[in-house]
Amino acid sequence: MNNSIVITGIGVVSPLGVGMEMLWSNLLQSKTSLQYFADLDAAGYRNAYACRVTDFDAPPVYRGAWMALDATRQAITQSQIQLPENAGVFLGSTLGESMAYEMAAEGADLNPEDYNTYSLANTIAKAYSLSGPIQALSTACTAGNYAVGAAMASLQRGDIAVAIAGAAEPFSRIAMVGFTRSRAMATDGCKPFDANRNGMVLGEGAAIFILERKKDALQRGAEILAEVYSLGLSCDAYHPTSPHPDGRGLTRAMNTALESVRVNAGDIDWVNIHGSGTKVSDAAEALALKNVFEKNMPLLSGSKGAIGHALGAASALELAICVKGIVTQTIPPTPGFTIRDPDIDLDCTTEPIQKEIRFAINNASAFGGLNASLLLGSCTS
Amino acid sequence: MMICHVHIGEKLEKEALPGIAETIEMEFGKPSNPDAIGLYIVSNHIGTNSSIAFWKDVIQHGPAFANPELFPWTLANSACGYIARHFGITGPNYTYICPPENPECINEVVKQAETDRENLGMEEVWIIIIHI
Repeated sequence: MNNSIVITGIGVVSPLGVGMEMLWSNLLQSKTSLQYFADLDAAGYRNAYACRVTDFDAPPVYRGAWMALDATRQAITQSQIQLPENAGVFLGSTLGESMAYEMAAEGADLNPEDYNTYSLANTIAKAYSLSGPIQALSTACTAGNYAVGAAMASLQRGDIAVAIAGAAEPFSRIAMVGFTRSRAMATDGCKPFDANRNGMVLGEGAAIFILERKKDALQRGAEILAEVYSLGLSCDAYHPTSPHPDGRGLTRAMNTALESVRVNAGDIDWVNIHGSGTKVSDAAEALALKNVFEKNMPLLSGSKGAIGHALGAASALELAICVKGIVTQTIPPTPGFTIRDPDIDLDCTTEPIQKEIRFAINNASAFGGLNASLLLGSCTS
Repeated sequence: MMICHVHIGEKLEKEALPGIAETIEMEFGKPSNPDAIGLYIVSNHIGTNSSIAFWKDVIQHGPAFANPELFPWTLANSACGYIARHFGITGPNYTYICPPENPECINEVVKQAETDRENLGMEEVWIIIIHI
């Protein structure tokens, strides 16, 4: 694994806490951020339950940008890095500032393009006077993994020395209505892989990482949190909103991530599942896991019962959890998972588990049939 | 590497995509091995028309009664998903949001496509630039 890429800083704005330590502490206690929101009820939403960041103030139309900037500041602080001017910014989001699209529909005089994913990424670059490449990836619920994978590729090509990568998604009323009207929402919490799961819960947030080449990080004496090995991608090309029921797309994504760096499936210690809590998505992911791991199933955990589904930011927030798990050699519990589904026939963690974690996979799937599996591990691997 | 320029105009994504797929097919032909194709959409606008139309419907009918049909098209990657389904393309599927007239942005996409071709063994990479 030459040209290794490592993470040296994490920043998080999540419904379960602003800052990685607060998120991690709450997650280890199996807390959930699910709440009833009177403003949604009063506005006539059929579902008024969500996972929102309640202790983060920002102008509504700049909420995503402010979340991304706060997470970036945290990541830079932890990394203790002096950003070179040509550092790259790689950001994922589903909609960008959803509020801007809503305001445009309401007749506001604004150009939504000034508030899209590219504008979020550009905001970070401007805040730190960076002139390096900007990549804005709108690959829905896989966007965080895509952004980190793109940053890894840019670093490995030698285009840049440092990358700011991750994803941000402010709470979206468009998504809240859309998923509710599509009957994809749960009202009693997200229950990944659970027998009684009945849908997703909308979340929001941001997670940003500092990535650099391992040799550069070692040279400057940085603390290496985790190594990023590979990103496997695929598209089901099957249905606009449903995964292929046999899990073939996610199977390919995980296999690609493993094969591209010659890691065996049996070496994987932990998979952070996409685990959206919907019947069909979880069933397809379970089949994919069985396809890849067969009888060597690693420990499985999922976080959407705790933090909701933050769409474009989801896989970035869950990557932050993976990195923290690797640093502490702890696999977190899966809030919402209590009863094994005989159809899925797989268990998720129900309490923190101390274990040697050499390799972990962070899974993500999205509308449009996208699948993205990021392989990472401890830096001693 | 094949690059195709198309336009969406004021049309909703679900109305524009069939014509866009037709244009792509005329330029690239039907893929012989769709499992070994990487797809890269570049747009600064994709998803916008449907997002605004969807929210207008929410305003008109209320959140409890809005028509959900448009919702999947509000997602910027819905176009890339449509094109993948049209051609059966199961390789990497990217949606980049950036001004199509910005050469630095396009260069980033080209580099990623080349990286995927080299590292993932993609036989073809299709870059579709969607202008307004």
